[in-house]
Parts: sequence; structure tokens; C-alpha cells
Amino acid sequence: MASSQMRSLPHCPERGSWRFEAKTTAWVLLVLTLLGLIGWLCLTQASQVSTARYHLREKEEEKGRLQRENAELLAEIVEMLSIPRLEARARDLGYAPAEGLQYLDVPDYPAACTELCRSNGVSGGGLAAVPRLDESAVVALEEPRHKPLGVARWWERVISQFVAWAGTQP
Amino acid sequence: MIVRGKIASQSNESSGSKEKGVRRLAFLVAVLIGLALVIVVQLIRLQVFQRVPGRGLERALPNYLPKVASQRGLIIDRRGYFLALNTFEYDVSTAPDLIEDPQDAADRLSPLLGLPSDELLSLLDQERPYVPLKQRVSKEVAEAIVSLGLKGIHLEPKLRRKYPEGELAAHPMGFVNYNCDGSYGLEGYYDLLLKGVSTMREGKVPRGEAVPIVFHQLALPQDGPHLMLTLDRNIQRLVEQELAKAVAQYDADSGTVIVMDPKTGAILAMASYPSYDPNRFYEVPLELYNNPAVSEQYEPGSVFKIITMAAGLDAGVITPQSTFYDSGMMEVGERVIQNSDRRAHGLVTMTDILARSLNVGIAYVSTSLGEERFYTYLRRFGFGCKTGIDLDGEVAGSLKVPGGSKWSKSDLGTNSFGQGIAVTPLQMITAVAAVANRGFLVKPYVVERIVDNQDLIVTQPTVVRQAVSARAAEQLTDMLVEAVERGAELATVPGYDVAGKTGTAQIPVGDRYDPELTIASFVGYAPADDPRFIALVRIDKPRVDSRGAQVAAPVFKAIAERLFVLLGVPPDSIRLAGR
Repeated sequence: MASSQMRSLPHCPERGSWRFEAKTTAWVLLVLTLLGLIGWLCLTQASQVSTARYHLREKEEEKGRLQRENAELLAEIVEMLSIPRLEARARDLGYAPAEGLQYLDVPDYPAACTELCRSNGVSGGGLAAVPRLDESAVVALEEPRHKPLGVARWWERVISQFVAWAGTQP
Repeated sequence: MIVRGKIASQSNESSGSKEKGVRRLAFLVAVLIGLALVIVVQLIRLQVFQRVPGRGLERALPNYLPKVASQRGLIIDRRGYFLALNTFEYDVSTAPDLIEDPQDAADRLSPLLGLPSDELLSLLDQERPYVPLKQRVSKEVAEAIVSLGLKGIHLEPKLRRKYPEGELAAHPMGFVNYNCDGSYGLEGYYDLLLKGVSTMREGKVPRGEAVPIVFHQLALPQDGPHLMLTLDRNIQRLVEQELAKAVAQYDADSGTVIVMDPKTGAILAMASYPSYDPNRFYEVPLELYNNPAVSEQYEPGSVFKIITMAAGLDAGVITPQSTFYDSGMMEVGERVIQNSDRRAHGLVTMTDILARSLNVGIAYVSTSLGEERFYTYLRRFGFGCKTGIDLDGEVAGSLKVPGGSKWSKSDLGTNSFGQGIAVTPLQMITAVAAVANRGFLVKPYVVERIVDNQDLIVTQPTVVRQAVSARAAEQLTDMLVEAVERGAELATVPGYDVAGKTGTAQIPVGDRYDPELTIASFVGYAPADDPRFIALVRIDKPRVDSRGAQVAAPVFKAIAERLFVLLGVPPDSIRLAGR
């Protein structure tokens, strides 16, 4: 009885303490590792966000630079199209302001065209003499020169016939 | 003993493993400390010695310090030509802390900035985080500065408005000042719209740095929409040339011309002389900024007889054939009205009154109408209030009405021929445009379309009211055609019927009128049966000749002749042949 007490008493606290310390150490290490991992993730994330911000700013800067370049180029083009420049160029080429205009009385001239031109904001004396295109002629012009062959052509013909049929029904 | 020995051996074993555990822990701690030291050393190396070379920080702080500002909307004429656009200039500044060799930097920057080297050196050698060096340098200079590769020199782009046509349409356009604020004209009226929405940014400036490196952008910038105008560059040019020529030819002080589409109220051209170059607005006196077409009021003179006659015809108190015996004078209130030639013209028709511009005859019309009806018609034509045009600085003119403290009975007579009433050129042309437009008064406008990236706002012509009946307007148009043929031959254009009226207005100086100087004017529209344009010409204080028929009418003719070509209007004989 006494021997069994001797056997167990001195050992129990020391072994328990060591187990406790090892366990605690393992936990501390685990927590440290986790904290380190989390910290690393946070730092990586922050770094990526920061990098992205710089990239974004670079792109913004690039966009601003391109916009400024675009504006400068537009200004150069507009400068070249300004009236004084065009007038000078026209004079160099031997042009002069038109004088003594003569208008021709065209028989059966479609007056509606004048109204059409006006409503579209088209101006210029020469345009008034352009006869209005016949609508059927416009349709003919829009048709492709090389029609598809085979099934596609047959199907197109069916569709066009159907459209024509549908359009002529009361 | 055996037990003790066993216990002792177990104790030794336990202390051995404990020591081993401690050693392991010490090893781990040493490793962690080692890693921490490596990180600290690296941080010191990167932050202090190398400052993150090539990893973006320096690239993120380039010479161009971007400021995300919105772009101001462009202004385009009705044919698509640009009248106002944006270019950029650059403000040069420095962060003296970052300058490695101030003397060298000063020497290299001096010729580019046009500043003495020692003056620059004193600026570069300061202990301040930010020092401005020069404002508004050109793109070429900015590029040259960048090519120097100097650290600590910053260039900030600043928007500069550019008007590629120079003085063309300066008054209706207005200008943009150094703070990017629009003033006068369209730039002033549409300033908030054209500006767009700039981006707000918050930045943090680290100690020792000159520029913020951490930004929080709160929103994306929105560029201002573009304005497409009713103004036509070619017509505007024509009008300005003719106006400048007339002012010089007749030795006048100034002048104004407005060309308008009477059916819609669209302003095709609006010019005043003298003008200025909005690119260099700072070089001219402030008085030139005002647009006389909308901001300057004057007594219109005989041009106003159109309005009185329209009222008489519409009210039915007269017809074109009505006759009146002109004795050469008429007493209205306390004032005796006389004709400008101080003569009596005997029995005259209403058309004669317009053709000969008889003050007595037109006073007869206004007195026949009576106070209430006459002034009601004036209000119907829009006098005494703004037209509502989309231009900055419009004034309402001045109309005295019965019951007002300044009105007297004699005003009924003098107002009938445009004395004692103050109007703007725009009010006058808008009122006469109502006669051209079958009695419908339309609101004048300058912006045809507002073009955003996705949206398009089109201005619809606005009829304010019907001032007079279509019948009265047509009768008056016929009378005005005859008035031009008989009284203003210099305004006639062969092949076209022109309806119009001259005016020679006295200029009030204090309580009296200037004995010599006048305002010569003409307002007319053509073709009379289907007007495509109406034009008002006003020449101030011409000294060669004071009469509107001699000074303003020829200017109208010169403009009208070209307008028929520019607008594609064939002569009446050809135009009406197809009807």
C-alpha cells in the first residue's frame, strides 16, 4: 500500500506538468502559426490592394494623358478647318467667291424634294436640282449583285414571296 | 532500492525530455526571431535605403500628378464645325525636398520657364513641401520639362478653352476664365451643364513628401455634354464681315446683326461689332463682354411701326386700304407729333404710312386703338419681358404702361413709332418674326441639341403665343413688301420679295435727344410669302449718313443676297413655278 503510494505520488504532478506544458506549447505554436498565416494573408491582401491601386492610378493617368492627346489632336484638326485657313487655301488654289448665280427653271421639278431637303437640314443651291430617286430604284440598288445559290437562295425566295404575300393581303 | 532506483531513473529521463523540449522551444523561438530579424532587415533595406525601387512607388509618383477632372463639353455649329473645344496647359510646381541638385535644376529650367536662374534657385532651395514655379505653360514647354528627367518637378494639366475661329461668334459664345468658369453667352448660360461633374478625391500627404500617395476616389468623373448650335459658321462669318465693313464705311461706333429662322426661332447668326477674341478675353475692356444683341436696349424708332400697324390690322381699326389725312402734326397728350421730314403728306393709305414712315399716321393708328388695346398688343409681342433665349445676360427692355408712374398720355403717340420705349435687338427681331410667321410669336434659341454620351436632347421650337391673326400678318407682309420697294430700295434683292422696314432712331441723352447722332436700323424677311430668314441690322451712330434706308438697308441686302445662296433659296419666279 505504502509502496504503491510511493510509486504514484512523486510522478503524477511532474508528468502532468510536462504534458500540460507540451500541450500548451503546441497550442501556442498553433495559434502563432495561425496568427502568422492570418497576418501573412492580410499583408498579401493589403499588398495586392495597394498594387492594384497603383495600377488603377497608372491607368487613370494613362487615360488622362490619352484624353489630353486626343484633345490636342482635335484642336489641330479644327485649326486646319477654320474659315481663315480654308479661305487662304482656297485663294491659293485659285478659287473665288461665287458671283452671278443663275438658277434654272426645271420643268416638272418635284417641289417635294425641296421640302424634303429643307426638313433634313440640307442646304445648297445645287442640291435643289438633284431629282428625287424613285423608291423602286432604291430597292433595286439595295439588292445584292451576287445572290446566294442553292437552299439559301430557295429559302430567301420563299421568304420574299411570303413577305410579298403578307404585304398584299387586306 | 529497486523502486527508488526506478524512480530516480524515471526522474532523470523526465528531466532529460524536459530539457529536450526546452531546447526544441528555444530552437523554434530562435527560428522565429531569425525570421523576424530577416523581415525587419528587409523592411529597413526597402523602406530606408532602397525605398521600394522599381516596385511602383516611384512610378506612382511621376511628374504628372493626375487630377481626375471632367472634360468641358464642346460647342459645335449646326453644320458640325467646332466653335469651342478643350486644350491643356500645365502648372509647374516643385517639391524642393526631392530636388537633388537645385543649382543644376535651376539652370536647366530657367530657359524653359523664362525665369532667371537665381530666382528659380531661390524657389528650389526652400524648405517647403510645395512651391509653385509657373502657371499655364504650353504643352511644348511641359514636354521639354519632362524630357529633362528632373525629380521633384511636377506638372499639373489645366484645361484651357480654345475657340478655333477666333472672334467668330464671340458674343453669343462667351468665354471660360482661368478657373474654368464660363462667363457670358453660351459658356455662361450652360456653364454648370458644360462643366460636367468632376471627381472628388481625398489624399494623404506623408511627412516629407510633396504629393499625396494615398487616394480615395469618391466617384467617377462625368464629362459635360456637347452643345450643337443653331448658329451657322458660314452665315455668322458673312454677317460679321458685312457688319464690320458697314461700321467702317459709315464711320459708325458699333453695330449689331441678328439672323433668325422666323418659323422656329432658331438663331442662325448673331454678331456685334466691335468684338473680341475669346481666346484672349483678358486683353479687352469689360464692356466688350456684353452681348449687345440681348443686353443692350435702345429706342427702336420707325422699325416699331410694324408692331403698331400689326395691332391696328388685327384689332380691325384699320385695313391696308384705310386712308388718313396727314396734316403734318397731331397732338397726343401734351406732345405734338410730327413727321421726321416736318411735312404734311395729305391723304395717305396705311401702306403709304409704312412706305413713307409717317409718324403722324402711325400715331393715328395707336390712338385709334386706345391705350388698353395698344399696350396689350405690345405685351403680346413680348415687349417689356425677356424673350427667354438661352444666352447669358439678357435684359427685359423697358415698357412704360398706363397706370405706371412714368407713363404719360403722350407715350401712346411716341411709342407707336418707337420712341420712349426701350427694346433689345433680339426682342425687336422676335416681334417682327411673329408677323413673318403668320402671327405666331416663337421663342428664340441658340442650342439645337444637347449631346451626351448616351442621351440626345433636341430643342423643339416653342410658340409663345399668337400675337396677331394670320390674316393680319399676311396683310402686313404685303404692306411691308411695298414699303421696301418704295421706301428702302437699297434693301431689295432682284428676284425676291423682301418685306421689311427701316428705322432711324434718335438717341436719348439725359432728358433730350442727341441732335445729330442716330441709330440706323432695318429689319426684313424673305422670301416674303414663305420666309426662310429674318434679319435685323442696327448701326449705331453712323456719321456719313444717319438714315436707316441709306445705312442699314444696304447691309441687309448684302447679307440677304448671300443668304439666299447659303440657304438654297432660288428666286421667287423659279421657286413658285413648281407650285
